Amino acid sequence: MLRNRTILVAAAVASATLLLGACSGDSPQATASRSVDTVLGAVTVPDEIDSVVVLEGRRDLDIVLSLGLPLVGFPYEGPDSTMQLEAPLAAATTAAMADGAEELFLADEINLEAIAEVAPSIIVSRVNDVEPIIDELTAIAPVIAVNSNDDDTWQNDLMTVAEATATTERADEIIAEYDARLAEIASTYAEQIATTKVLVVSYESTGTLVQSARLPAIVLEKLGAQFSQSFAAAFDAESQDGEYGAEQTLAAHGDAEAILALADTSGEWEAAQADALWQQLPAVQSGTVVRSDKMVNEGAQITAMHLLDLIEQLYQKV
Amino acid sequence: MAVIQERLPATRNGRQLRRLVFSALALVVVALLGLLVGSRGLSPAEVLAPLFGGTDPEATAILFDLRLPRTLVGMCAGAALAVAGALMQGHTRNPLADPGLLGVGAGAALSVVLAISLLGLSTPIGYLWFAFAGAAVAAVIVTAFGLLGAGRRDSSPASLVLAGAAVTALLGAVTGIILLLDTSTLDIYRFWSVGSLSGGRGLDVLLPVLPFLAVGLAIAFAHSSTLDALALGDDMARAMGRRLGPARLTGLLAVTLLVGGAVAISGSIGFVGLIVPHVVRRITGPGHRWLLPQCAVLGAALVVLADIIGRVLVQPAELAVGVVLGVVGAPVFLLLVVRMRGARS
Repeated sequence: MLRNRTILVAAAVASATLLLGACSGDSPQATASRSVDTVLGAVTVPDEIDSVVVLEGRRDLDIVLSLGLPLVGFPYEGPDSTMQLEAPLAAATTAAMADGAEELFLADEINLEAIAEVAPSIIVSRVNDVEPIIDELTAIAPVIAVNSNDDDTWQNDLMTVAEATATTERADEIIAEYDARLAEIASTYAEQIATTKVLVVSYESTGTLVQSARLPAIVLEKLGAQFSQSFAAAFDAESQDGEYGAEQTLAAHGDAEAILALADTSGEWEAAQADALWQQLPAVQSGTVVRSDKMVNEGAQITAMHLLDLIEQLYQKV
Repeated sequence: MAVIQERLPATRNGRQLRRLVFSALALVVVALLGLLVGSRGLSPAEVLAPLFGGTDPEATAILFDLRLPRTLVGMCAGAALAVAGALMQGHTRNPLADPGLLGVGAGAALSVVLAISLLGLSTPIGYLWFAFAGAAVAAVIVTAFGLLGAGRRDSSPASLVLAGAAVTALLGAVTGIILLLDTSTLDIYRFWSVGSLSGGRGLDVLLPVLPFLAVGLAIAFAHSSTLDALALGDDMARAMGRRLGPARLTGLLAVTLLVGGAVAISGSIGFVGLIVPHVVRRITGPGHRWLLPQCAVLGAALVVLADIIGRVLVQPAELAVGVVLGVVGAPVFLLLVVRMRGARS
């Protein structure tokens, strides 16, 4: 479906681009530009970045917002998102919208026409999203692809975008801010970190899910946290996750002494409160649980800082 | 000679009754397995201990909060879907007819999607009545169009099936549009749509629906002689004094109650309504008097058995019963079709 729409829209975009180019008084050569290296090869970007569009709305959006780039367009989750908690990027996104950023299309439903209409200076997104439609996107604006594989840290991706947008100073600054906060928590809660088995687990209607390649696990690993058995198993697993049926809840996570529980909807969280096996978990019984949701699973500096706040809350309860 | 003729139906009934008792015993065994087998490897003694005063909180929670409710939900959903399938096949005189043909499942799905999207509901108990109401509204719409299409009060099976297909397509399209525009609703809906006996489907979900299922089954069983008459064709059924319009409406009511109830408690479980009547006909023959109760018993056993397989196939995770029935049920059904053809030729 995307492919068919892409072809149609690409034709429209190409026509619009030609028309805009013909009408414009400035020739492309008149705009100062430079070349930057990305995972998809060298990309020529304008020196002055007036407007940025992101396509995925998670790590790419976090990077653009944290660098203070002029965001003009981003995807949205839906008309009535069922997420109960405020997203880590909510405040920064609201501020960007006050400055003119627009919700351009539904998440996972990239609308090339809407992107072309806002005529961004650059497009930033995950490589998986841009690669299939790179020609169409490049016809609109230079594309900075990030997050090419699971091993790419948000810091690497942040620096890639920072180099493309001449904001490396700001990038260094916010990475240092994160490092300082990480060090502060590591120092303040050194004893709890060394002696407490932690677990980050998604509570779903049909069971629980533990993931080691997600941002909470990465931040906790940097912090030197001790992991519960199921969390450690996820780190060892080839799939980097562990899925457990509802009956397994106590057996799988019973050794966890502190839990960062991810429950997206109020219904899921209420189900956890009514789940006798969940309630028998020692961490739950001792109240050493902090709730968040899947929005902390992926992101960059803003989300990581939000996670550090949650982790601090968790260790405070130990 | 007269004595032999009198004894023949009695012998046949006795044989059918023995088969039904045997199936019921098989269901008891499967239900017991439903209590004993799960992704958490507890011994039978550990699992059953809470029934005899055991106080281990984990075993108690697993038995009473998880395995017992899902076994009961599976039995009720399986019985309802299998009987509804037999009713549909009897009314349409089409062995490929499925309860989904009436648009009942599509109506329930749209209603659940609206409940999630507009009201933010996200648990089975939350959208229980939405599923039921959606199923009922879809059945009423299909019936109305079926009656209009037939141009007379006694709607023909063809017009009903065509109306059902059209309404199903329309409701499916509306559901699709909403899900395309609301990815967060899609995230929740996909858990419901796959058909599952876990995920908050406890006795609190089953008990409110139980009376509807019981009434649906009662109507279906009382309807068996009419179905036998309809199997001979509309003209013959009329000649036997059956009023086709009321007969079909009664059948539709039973199907709506059964499928609406099943969908409300377990989501969208496929294949049961198609596969079970086929298998059972091989055991009982075409007469609905024994076909329907056998369908109820074996439908219940099939769904619980599929759920048990789903609990152990990908331990420590679980597969939803709808997935197991699709993945395992489809090849088994194909094998069955091939063997049936082989047996005939």
